[in-house]
Amino acid sequence: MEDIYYIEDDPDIANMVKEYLEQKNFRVKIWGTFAEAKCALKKHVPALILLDWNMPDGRGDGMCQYLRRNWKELPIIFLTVRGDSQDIVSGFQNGGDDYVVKPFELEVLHSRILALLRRAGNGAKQYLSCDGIEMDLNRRSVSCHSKEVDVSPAEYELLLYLMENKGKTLTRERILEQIWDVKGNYVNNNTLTVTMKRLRDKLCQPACIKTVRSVGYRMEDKI
Amino acid sequence: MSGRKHVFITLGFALSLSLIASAVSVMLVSFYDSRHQFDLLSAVCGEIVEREPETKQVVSGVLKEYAQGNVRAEDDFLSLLGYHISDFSRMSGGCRVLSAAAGFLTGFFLFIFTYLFRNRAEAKRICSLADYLEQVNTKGAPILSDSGEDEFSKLKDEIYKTVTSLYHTRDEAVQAKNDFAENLSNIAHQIKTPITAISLSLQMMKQELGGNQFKRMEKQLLRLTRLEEALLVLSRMDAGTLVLEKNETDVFTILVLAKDNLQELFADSGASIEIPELGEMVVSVDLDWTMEAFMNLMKNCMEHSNGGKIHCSYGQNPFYTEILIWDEGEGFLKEDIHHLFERFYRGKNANEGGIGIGLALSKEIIERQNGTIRAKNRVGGGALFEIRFYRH
Repeated sequence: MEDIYYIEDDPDIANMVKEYLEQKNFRVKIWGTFAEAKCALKKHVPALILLDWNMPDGRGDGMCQYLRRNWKELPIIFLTVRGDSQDIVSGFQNGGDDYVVKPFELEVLHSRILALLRRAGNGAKQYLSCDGIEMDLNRRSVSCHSKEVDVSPAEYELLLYLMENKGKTLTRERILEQIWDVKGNYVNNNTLTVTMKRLRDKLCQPACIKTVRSVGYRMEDKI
Repeated sequence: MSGRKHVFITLGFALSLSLIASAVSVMLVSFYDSRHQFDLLSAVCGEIVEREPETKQVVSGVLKEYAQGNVRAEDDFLSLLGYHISDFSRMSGGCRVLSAAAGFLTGFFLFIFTYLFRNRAEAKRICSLADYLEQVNTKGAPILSDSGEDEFSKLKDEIYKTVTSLYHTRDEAVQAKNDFAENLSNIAHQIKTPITAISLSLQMMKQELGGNQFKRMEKQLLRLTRLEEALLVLSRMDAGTLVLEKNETDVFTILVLAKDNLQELFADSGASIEIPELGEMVVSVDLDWTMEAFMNLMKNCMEHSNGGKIHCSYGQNPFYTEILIWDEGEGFLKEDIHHLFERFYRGKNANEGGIGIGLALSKEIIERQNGTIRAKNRVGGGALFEIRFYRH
């Protein structure tokens, strides 16, 4: 049974999320302020943290930076009413792994939690797979529903980067940096968009590659 | 000190100076004249007496008579003898005219020079004030340097006061606007908390009780959420606090991202959208908000195309970038076409969930980025949106 800390000041919302997640076999503890949460974290670090942005004793970005400084790999999901693109982007920049805007579907939250927890256990492997798409890293080949697909080097790198970060939202800037800039090819947004479109076409528009509004892309397992 | 008073004092000085000057010159001229007359008379009389010594008696008698004012000599006795006035003047006629002209011209040039100088000084002052106002309009109010007292000092002071108070008023207005937008955004965010609580308890109830009786509530909640988002965006738009960050953005990327974000809606309606790869074309717009504008246009096409295809096309020339989005549906109704982009306008065939915000929002976003949008019906049927972003 995985345990989750939920940092939220509205008791109604917190209790309902707790009740739902407990049905899904999680142990949830609610903390009404950042100070309480920090105190509890000193004694025990949970498997995942759900973080509200507006709290009586501070803002979510400060707390998130604090968490990142102390626990580099701890999965953090923002759960907040602030749905503007700048807010979302700053949430990711401050170290959040995912961002869920209120009001939200409990099932969506559940699947995001599962995706993050699964990623946390990923190690280096030869085979990567997601929803029928498989990659063999040694042979540098991609197959979709057991049929081999011919992809260009850029498409392969893009798919690999998404697969390695399954469940995590990747910003367009980071993808450009990771796939092209590090090799000294400075390309623009058009190249990324075109590469993504061709990759999706070749993989028959897979549902597992999601476009995240205002941010970038994410690879997601179906639950 | 008022300018008029200043002018009166100057005029008074000039007048008194010229009066004094003319009085002195009249005195000098009459003194000179009587001396000249005395010399002339004495020379003439001396000559007569020298030639005819016996006339001394007669001459002195005549002089005595003349001095007493009893002489009635024959008019123009000298003229009859063929003499002119100038023959007895010490100065020649030309010389007199020349000196008079020299005096007159000197005065005249002095006058013109003073006049021009004054005008130039005025023009310079006006120029500097105009420059100041221009600076105020372009860069912000610099401190107006003091340049002494003159008839423009008051104008300068008033301009400075007006500019300062305008700046003050503007700052206040901006502050009020920001406060307003801040409050609205606060309230809009606060509304989300109860909506979230309701939505969560609805989901829990649905899970426990099952059934379809919650569908209507879900729909209304969704609508409430959308209204709240629209309220937030519109209030920001009106308050001018919606910041559009113009960056060099690829058109194909905007269109594809708009399409990606509508994927679920499109999957439900069975419509599909085609975006051709026409190479890189860059426009200077805010990616997120322009994408939002295109999403609203695509959504509108989707709602009226009954599961058909939606097409996009784009092109660029030195003046503008043009983007076309069209569907294969019925096209716009004639009575709707002029009101399409009005806020809260609901066309005859509008969807039940809509609130009449999407197209109005699209138009505002596009127009705030130096663009235009037009809606028309295509020749072969179907609705067409034509968007242009101008370079300048």
